[in-house]
Formats: sequence, structure tokens, C-alpha cells
Amino acid sequence: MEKIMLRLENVEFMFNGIILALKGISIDVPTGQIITLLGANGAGKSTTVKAIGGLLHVEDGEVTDGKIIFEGKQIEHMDPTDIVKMGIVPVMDGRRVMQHMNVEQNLLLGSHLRKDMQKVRESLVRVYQYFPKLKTLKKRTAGYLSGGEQQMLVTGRAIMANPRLMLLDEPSMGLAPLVVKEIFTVLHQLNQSEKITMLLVEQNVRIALSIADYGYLLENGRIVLHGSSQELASNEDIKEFYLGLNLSGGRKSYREVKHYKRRKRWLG
Amino acid sequence: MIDFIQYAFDGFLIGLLYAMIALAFIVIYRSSRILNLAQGEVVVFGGFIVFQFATIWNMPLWLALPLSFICVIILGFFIERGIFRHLIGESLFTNVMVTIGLMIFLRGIMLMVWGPAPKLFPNIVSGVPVNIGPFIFSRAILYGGLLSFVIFFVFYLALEKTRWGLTMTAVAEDPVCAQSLGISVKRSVAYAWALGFVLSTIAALIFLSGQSIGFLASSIGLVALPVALLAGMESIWGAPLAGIIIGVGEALCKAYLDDYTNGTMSEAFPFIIMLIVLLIRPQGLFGWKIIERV
Amino acid sequence: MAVLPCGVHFSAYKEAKSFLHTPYQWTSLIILFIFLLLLPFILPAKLVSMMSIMAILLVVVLGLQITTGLSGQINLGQSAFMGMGAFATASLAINFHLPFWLSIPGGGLAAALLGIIFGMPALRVKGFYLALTTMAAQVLFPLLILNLPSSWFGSSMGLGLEPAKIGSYVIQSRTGLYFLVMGGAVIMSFFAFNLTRSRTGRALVALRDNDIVAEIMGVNLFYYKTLAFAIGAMFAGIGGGLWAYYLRFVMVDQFTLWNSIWYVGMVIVGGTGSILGAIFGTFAIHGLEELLVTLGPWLSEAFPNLGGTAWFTGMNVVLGGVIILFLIFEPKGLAHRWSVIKHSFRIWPYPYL
Repeated sequence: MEKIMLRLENVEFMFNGIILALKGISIDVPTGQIITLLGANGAGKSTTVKAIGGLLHVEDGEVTDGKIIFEGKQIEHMDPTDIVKMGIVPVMDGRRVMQHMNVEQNLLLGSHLRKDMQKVRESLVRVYQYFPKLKTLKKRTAGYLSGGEQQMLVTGRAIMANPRLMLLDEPSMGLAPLVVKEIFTVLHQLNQSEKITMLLVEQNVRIALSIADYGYLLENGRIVLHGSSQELASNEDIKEFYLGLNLSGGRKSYREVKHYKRRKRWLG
Repeated sequence: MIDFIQYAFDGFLIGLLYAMIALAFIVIYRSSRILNLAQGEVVVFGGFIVFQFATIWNMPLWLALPLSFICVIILGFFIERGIFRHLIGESLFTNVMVTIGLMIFLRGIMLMVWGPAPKLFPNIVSGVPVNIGPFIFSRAILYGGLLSFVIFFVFYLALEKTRWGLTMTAVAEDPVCAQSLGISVKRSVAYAWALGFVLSTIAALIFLSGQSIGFLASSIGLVALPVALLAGMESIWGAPLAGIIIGVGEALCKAYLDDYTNGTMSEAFPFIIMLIVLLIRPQGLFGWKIIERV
Repeated sequence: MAVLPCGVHFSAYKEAKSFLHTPYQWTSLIILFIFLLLLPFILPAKLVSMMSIMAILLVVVLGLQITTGLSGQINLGQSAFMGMGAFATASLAINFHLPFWLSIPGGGLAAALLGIIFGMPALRVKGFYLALTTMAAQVLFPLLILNLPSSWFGSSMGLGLEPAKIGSYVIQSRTGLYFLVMGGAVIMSFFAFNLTRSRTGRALVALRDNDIVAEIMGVNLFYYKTLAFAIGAMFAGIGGGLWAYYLRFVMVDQFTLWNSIWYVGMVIVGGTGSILGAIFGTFAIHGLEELLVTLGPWLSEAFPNLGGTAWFTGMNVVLGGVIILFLIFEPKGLAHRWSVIKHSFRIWPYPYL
């Protein structure tokens, strides 16, 4: 049995005291693995990640029930600063770079909690190794980078924080397939060589399952299915609703998707 | 000719004073995206706190000044705790409006505690003017001008060259993202206000030394606004340059144009410059260009 | 918000768009008018003057509500626009001998023109930069008046004008003035209420909520931003015109930046974006002010050790504190509170709808 780094126990999450976004979900993230959260829009994936990072106090959201445990410590009511200090680094969706800083400043910003400048410089070199493109754009203002470069930048910025657990929220959003592939290759490398544990939120089920060890499927704030990535990839429902394949593995046309409501039996 | 140079130099030094107030403004803006319309009130408030220690409680300056600075730093933290902590992530509109509330509030407190009549502010620097060649300068303003360069340099290094400065700037750019990087938004905003208060109090010391202090002196904050805008709201080095431009321009207007305009040209000058800047180059001389992606 | 009483159904767009929906609403409006008509005869003289001043302020604040609350263009120069209206009205009455029903709209137009000029930067800048241009308007306005020839706007001496006349009736009594300004306030309120439910009103709201999206959806930014300022300033100008006829003396000192800031305070406390909010805000803040002025001497007597001026200056602390507290805890202002109360009253005794 591998060691569990992050455990969500029956977490309920509420916005404004009225909107129940997560209805009791439990997730285990074992050390050194990539765990992926799948689901449609509004399923509660991003909320889960933000709840772990403690980022939803500004949106009047709070964990109303259950526990989030990181290495034996309860973190659901902690300040985001303390959470980052413990080694959990979220990468928010939407490629939020600091637009007016240049690439290198953005990267250095990620390291602001680390004291040892020597190590920080080493990290910087490593980030440039993973994303050689960023090195050539070192002095460019981040607001003028392309979407793919910005995604590399925010990923690199997270690496600079020397994370033990990275929370990645839709790194593939709105990017070209080749760029997505490049980024996911780097994520896989990071997991393999630097032993960074990852919780990966994705809509792009195919690529997420290709690098993940284990996956959870969310619907309407509940976990409806979980299993190793091979299991998920061979699951009929996943195939039909998320990968667009028919039962024999060929491409499925939209017209054939009948009885949608009935088949999607986890709804409700 | 001597007169002209004298006027220009006076304007130069006053401009540096404006720049210092503008810097207080810029530091707050740059680290929290809050446009502090109450800047003038903050300056006078700092002055009144010094006045309270030095004149009313009759403390020697070496004791009164440090105590005042501690006091304004606490006040800065207090403002963050009481007001801006609750407004993280709120719209720009709310943030501008709340400084208007703060402006009325601070003015009210000053009126209540120290009354509406102007009071004599203690001499921080000797009131004897300095003679350099044929020119005469007010000692406080001259020393203040020299001091301001040190201050600009220190702030430049701190905000532009350190990771701490980067974190402060990050909070202004995108508070939510900054939080996700583990930057404490609350703490940054609190530091920004404390620094803003300290700078304002230093400016008040220079500005008010040996003069009279009353709540109406807060109109100096209105002049600092055009300076900050001309400099560019994020630029540390822009502030002295813009301050000098506006200070010199204002002094020359006062000397040569006011006779023909019922004494109003010097008052109008900074605002005319401000309108021109807003129309031609809203980001100011060295500010950040607004990157808007749809 | 738009909760209607049970049993009200619309079968045509025209009905849904109408101003008032139920007989109850008609009755209460008529009762309100009767009350406003009888007011000067039942209230003591002091309160009648207070109501008159409030009516003038209401017109000005309505304008600010349209520029700032509805269209999201921060305006710190409303008092200058009001001053422009007051001076123009006075000047038209003195130099061209226009009757009040021409000179007041004239003042409104003059203010609208000034509003357009200072609203122009809104096309290039937004947010707080705009606060700065309007603030510049406020600072430059008195300087402008002082430097124009004194036959235009009286320069530093100010302008005094003859009372308004209808035929041979001279509006000079307290009651007469009350009807003059209250009439103006009612007309302008009606205009403001109607604006919010018109095509223009919706365009202005779109502009406030996201101007880039609004432009993409075909809202002409140039036109509507300028319009927002023009309408807001026109209200201020008409308020200024009423002010001119009410006091019969105008001077630059009456229109300061500080007044502008108070108007903004009224909008915030009342509720940004709501016309009803402007009414609430004006009455709440000005009422509070009058209350402190009335109670001040009495309180000073009761607590002599606090000093005579403390009560008046305390007003600033109270207002500043109220604005901050409202922004933190009730950003939608009194109007929102009111609709919540109305709503819960309507669905009582059931807690949910």
C-alpha cells in the first residue's frame, strides 16, 4: 500500500451559504502519482482544486463538512500562504500570468517563499531545461506571450515553488494539440524524475488518462466513478460520453448517441 | 534672469515634495490596485499625529518623530484590517468609492480631534533659509528634496529589484493568482498602506515644518494626483520627473501668468497637464500599458 | 427584484413594459402625490425648506446615479455640472430675460455640454482614470468661471437673480418655491425611472457591466458613454437651475469638490444603479445631516464637555463610516434592503418563493 499524501474525506463545499458545489467527495492522492479529476463543466473539478488550495475564501466559499488532510494535517481552513508553504502549489486555470512582468520575473515570483537563492537559481535552470522556449523569451513581457507559452510559464512558475504536490487546473484549455502534448510530456517527466505528485483536472480525457495513474470522474459535485487509468479508459460509459468511441472502439458519430439520459446512469 | 532661476529652483524642490506624496500614492496603487483618493487627508493626518506628539504632548523631536512613525504604521495596518481586507477581489469601482469614504472619515476625525482652526506646526528643520550664491531656499524644502532622492532610490531597489517587490506587484496585478502562489494579499496590502502612511508623514514633515496645519492643507493631495498620473501609476522613477515638471511649471505659472488670470493659472496648471496626459497617453510617462485581451 | 404580486399576468408586451402594473401601485402613487401637494400646508416651515433643498439635491443625485450607478462611469464632478447649470440659468435669466421654464432647461443643456466635454476622455480611459478627469472638471470649473468676463457669470461676485414668475404670479414664498422645486424633482424622477426601462437604459447598463462585450454586441460606445455623461450632467444642470431660483444667488463657492463627494456618498448609501436608491440616499444622508444640525446645539448643551462643534464635525465621521460600512456589508445600498423587506413582506408567512 503506497503512502497517501493528500486525502479528501467526504468534503462538502458551499458558496455564499446556498450553492452546494461539492456534495461529499473523497479522493486519495498517493505520493508520487498523478491523479486525474475528470468531468464536464460545472461538475466541481475546479472547485475541488481551489478548495484544496484554500483559494475560495474570496468567493465566499467554504468547506462545510468533511476533511482535507495533507500528510496528517487538516488544511481545509488554512490560509493559502500556509498551504503553499507546506508544498501544495496550485496552477489555476486560465493561464494567469502576471501580465506586466517579464518571463523571468514571473518565474522568480514563484520562488518567493524559498530562502536559498542558490537552489532557486538551480530551479530556474531546470525550468529552462524543461521549457527551452521560455529561455529564449526570458525578457519578454508575459502579457504578450501566446497561450501555449503562457501555460508553460505558469507551469514553470509552479515548479519554481519547489512543490511536492501540484494542483493543475486544465492545463490543456484552449491550446493546440501539439502544445498540449508538449506540456503533458513535461508534466509526465516532472512526475517521473522529480517525484512531484500531481492532481490533474482535465476535460481532455484522452490525454489526461495517458499520463495519470488513477482517475476520478465527477458529476454534479459527486464522484461517480473511479479506477486506475486503464480501467477508466476501458469503461464503456467513459468511452461513449468522454472519448466519443463506440463499443468496438471506433469513432462514434454524435447521431448514434441515443438514450443519453438513460445510459448516463450515475446522474442523480 | 536670477528671478527666473530662483522660481524654477523653488518649483523644482516643491516638485520633489509633490513627487514624494505621489510616490506614497504609487506605492499603494502598485501593491494593491487601490487609487487612494484620500492621499491628501493621509498626509495631513500624519502631520497631525506629529503635531499631537510634539506640540500638544510637548515631546522632544527625537522622541516624537519615532513615536509618530510607529503610530502611522499601526494606522496603516489598521486600515487594511478594518477596510481593505473585506474588499479583496471586489471591483475597482468599490475600491475607488471606499477611498472616498475614507477621505470623508479621516477628515471628520481630524475635525473632531484637532478642530477646524489651523495650528502652528513645530519646526522640524530650522526656519532660517539657506543662501546659495544669489539664491534663497527654504531649509526644510531643500533638505526634503535631498532626502527624497534617497527615498526614491530605496523604493526603486525594494520594489523593482527584490522578490519581495515582485510579490507586492503581483498582488496588484492579480490578487487571486497571487494568493494561489502563496503570497499573502492581506499582508501586502497592509505593508503598502503602512509604507504609504510613512511616506506621507515624511512629506508632511517637510511640507508643514514651521507652517500652519489645518484640514484644508489636504488639498496638496490633489496636486499629487496629476503628478502620479503623469509619472505613470506604477513607475517609481517617473514620480520625481513628473513632480519636477509639474512643480516647475506651476512655479513659473505663478510667477509670470497669475497676474493675468486672477491668480488661477498656477492652480489650474497641474490639472490641465493631467487632462492632456489622460487624453494622449493615459498610462503616463512610464506606466504600464494596459494589456486588454478579449 | 422584479417580483410581482400573485395574480398579475401579462398577455401583451405592452402590459409588461408599462410603468405601473396593479391598482395598488396606482393608488399608492396617487396618495404620494396628494401627500406631496399637502406637505407645505401640514409641515412646519423649517421642514418645508428642508424638503425643498432635498428635492433639489435629489435631481442632482439622480443624474449622478445615471452616470455612475447605471453606466458605471465614475464621476467626481457632479457639483461642477450643477454649478454650470446654476450659472447658465442665472445668466440666461439676467442677460436674456428668459422665463424660468426656459432658463432652467437652458441651464441643463449648458451643463450637458460641459458634461460631454469632460466625459470625452471616457472614450480613451476608464475606471478611476475617469474619476480623475471629472475631478479635474471640478477643480477647473471655478477657475473657469472666475476668469470669464464678469458680465457672463458674475466672476467672483456671483450672480443674483429675480424670482421666477408665472404670468404675474411671483414665486417667492416658501410654499411657492417648494412647489417649483418639487415639481422639477417629480418630473426628473419620472424621467429617470423611465430611462432605466428603455433601450437606452439597458445599453447604459451593458456599458457598465462589460464595455468590451457591449461594444461587440453592437452598443455604440462613443454615443452611449457621451450620452451617460450628458444625461447625468443635464440632471445636475437642472438641479442647479432650481437651486439658482431657490436661493436667487449663485457663487462658485457653492459648488465644491467636497459637495461632489457627498453626492457620491448619497449614491453609495442609497444603492448604486437604482433610481429608487438615489431617492433613499439623498433623503437618508441629507436627513441625517439636518438632524445633526438640529440636534447639535441641544446635544452641546446636554454634553458641554464635548465642545460645541463636535456634533457638526461628527457628521463627516458618521458619513465616511457609513459609506465604508455600506460598501463592505451592503454594497447594493438601502434600495436593496428595501426590496428585500418588500419581498419578504409579500411572501409572508412563507420563507421561500
